[in-house]
Amino acid sequence: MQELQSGVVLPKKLKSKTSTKTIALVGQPNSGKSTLFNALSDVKVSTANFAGTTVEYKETTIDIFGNDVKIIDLPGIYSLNPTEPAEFVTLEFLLNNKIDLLVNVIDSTFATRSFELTVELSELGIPMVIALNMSDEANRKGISIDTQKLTEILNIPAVKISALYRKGIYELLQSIEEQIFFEPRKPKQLNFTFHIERLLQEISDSFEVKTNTQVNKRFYAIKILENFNIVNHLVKVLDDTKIKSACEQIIHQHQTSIFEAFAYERHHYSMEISHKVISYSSTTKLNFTEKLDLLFLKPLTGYFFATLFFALYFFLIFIVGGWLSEIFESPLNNLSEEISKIQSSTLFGWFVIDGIFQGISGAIGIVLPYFLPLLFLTAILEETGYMSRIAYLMDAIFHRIGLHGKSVASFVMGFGCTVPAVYATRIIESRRDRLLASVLINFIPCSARLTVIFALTTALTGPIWAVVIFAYVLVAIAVTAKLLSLFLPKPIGLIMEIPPLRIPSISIIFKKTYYKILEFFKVAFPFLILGSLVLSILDYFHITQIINNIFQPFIHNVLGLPKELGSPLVFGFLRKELAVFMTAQSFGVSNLSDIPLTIPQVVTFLIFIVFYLPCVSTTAVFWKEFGWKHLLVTIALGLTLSTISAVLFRFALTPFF
Amino acid sequence: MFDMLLSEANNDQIVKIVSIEAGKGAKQRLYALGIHPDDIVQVVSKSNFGPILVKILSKDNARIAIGRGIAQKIKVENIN
Repeated sequence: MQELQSGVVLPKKLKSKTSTKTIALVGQPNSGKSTLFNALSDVKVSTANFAGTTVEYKETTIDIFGNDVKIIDLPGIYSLNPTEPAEFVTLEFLLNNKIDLLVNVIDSTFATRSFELTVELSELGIPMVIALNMSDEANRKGISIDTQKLTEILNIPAVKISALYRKGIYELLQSIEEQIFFEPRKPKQLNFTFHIERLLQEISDSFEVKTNTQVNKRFYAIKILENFNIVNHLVKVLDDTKIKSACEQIIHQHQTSIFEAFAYERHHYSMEISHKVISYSSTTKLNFTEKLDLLFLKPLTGYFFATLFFALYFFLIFIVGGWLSEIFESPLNNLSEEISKIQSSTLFGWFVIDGIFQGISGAIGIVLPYFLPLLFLTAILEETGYMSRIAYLMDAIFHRIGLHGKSVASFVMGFGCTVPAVYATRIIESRRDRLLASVLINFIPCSARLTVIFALTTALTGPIWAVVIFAYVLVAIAVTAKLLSLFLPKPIGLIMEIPPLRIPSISIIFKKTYYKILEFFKVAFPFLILGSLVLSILDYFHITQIINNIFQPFIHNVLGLPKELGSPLVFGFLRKELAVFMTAQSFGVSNLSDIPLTIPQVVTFLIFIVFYLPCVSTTAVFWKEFGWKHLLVTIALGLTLSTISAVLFRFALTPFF
Repeated sequence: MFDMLLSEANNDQIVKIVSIEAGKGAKQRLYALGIHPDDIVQVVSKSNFGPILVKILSKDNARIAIGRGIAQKIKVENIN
């Protein structure tokens, strides 16, 4: 039986002959869990289903020496006392599912620090295997780890691997097999100071654990004392006074807060382990990548390279996107001619067929060509670790404009999709700071809006205007932030690891891109076709003209745009990509380059579209997270900012063209 | 006994953490990322504004960016 969440039991029939064992990969961020997951899922894959945006972990079933084993890749965590949303996801998963084995993935070059998590994980009481990843890199750096001694101390088998170069995978699988099918070992737990251990004993019958998993009761006793909030919903307290008195005793004896008392002991224990098992031989001379990395991080050179890389990023998307859309164009045009020959018996039928075809050809011919290189290059930036350098550099600017340092990561995410980025602001404790960050993230052009910008500028104005628009958007966001933050208290700073730059695994970059594209076809594609179909039907009934006429006073008189743009803007609310090919549709042209708009009009239109309304998914998330009042304020702010900006561009540019 | 705040240390200076006087959340995060009292860190990069980048010399040389506000709550001792 596999429990998905407490109470939810999967039907037995779906499971294979014997009950499938479940393994969870747990490790610190950048320890190479996903690379290992990737390497493992290549071992005789039977099924693989990957995460969408809602489920934040990946799973696959592999065949380990004749047995089906389910492997789950959990988000990276530094500690079981979570401070980040990803850490909460992992902790919740570990505490609510039956897990037969934990594979603790460790970046061998950061082994000392990683042992603290290992010590915490062993408190769960679930059998473990330690995968010492990047052992080749550690060797080069003169770090050697005595796996035998490590196993002796913790009673956990440890295997040296290199997930990237597929080394040690077989040995790891052997260890896993041994642990789940033959002789599971109980990890040895850290014995805290005598009186803490006594208190853990004393409170052990003061509570009941509500879930039924492999996690032992001692773990809950520790968390009840150390960090009650995170297990609050999983335990039933029977004797509150006993627990309170235990807490008071620890505070009294240690003269410090309880979490620090526990953290101190774990820290010293893991340092002790590290001294016993790790030896360093060579000097800590900076190698080439580290020297290069300093250039990326030091303020002056850092900003220079960041600008350079972003220019390159834009340039490549243009080149590749333009090239791909040319490739798709002629077959799509031929198909369009073929379809126009069919001519349905009724005019209405023709509008339906045409609407669907326009949707498909828009999605493939216009959106996909720019979306594809965008995803691919973003995956490269993520996998090399360069994104965290951007976040580091941006933090300085963020502070200047009064934003919370913790929101940097969410802003970077915002260039992908606004929805997860708004969710990610949950790490900001202060509600006002959080709301401010979310309102602004909403203005960051997400991949859909970037695609609109890339597609229309390539066809009608030339790439330089995309850069102008982008620069303006950033400045507008900064100014808005500064204005809004005048009403807020000064934000506090960030604490973030800057992982070493790494050569990315090509196959992971391809896989990442592939799954994102798959998601695009599953989630966005139907929307785009449906939207196009609806537009075509509305056109048949002349309703689009009504929409266009309603908005004409605003669109024509205020923004100086043709009234045909009314319906694309209305439909852009569903998905921003729709706006781009609906524009072509509503002017009745098949090629974007035939759209009768002047350069100032295109730029005004694009600026307006970036800010005007959140898309329907973002609206839903905003409503859920902040309530309808804040949603309305956000929409009002967006409409104001977009109108002011668009009018500004209209009057600034028109005299020159 | 401490000489200065982490925010006052210069580029390349090597210091020992004496005490961390930040709030619970910040402390937990610093501990989890490997910065504890008695750890020895080197300032890798700092400028007049923005975060300070340190390298934990006593532990794997991991590099951690610390916001200015928090660096002002960390007392350090010069060990150059």
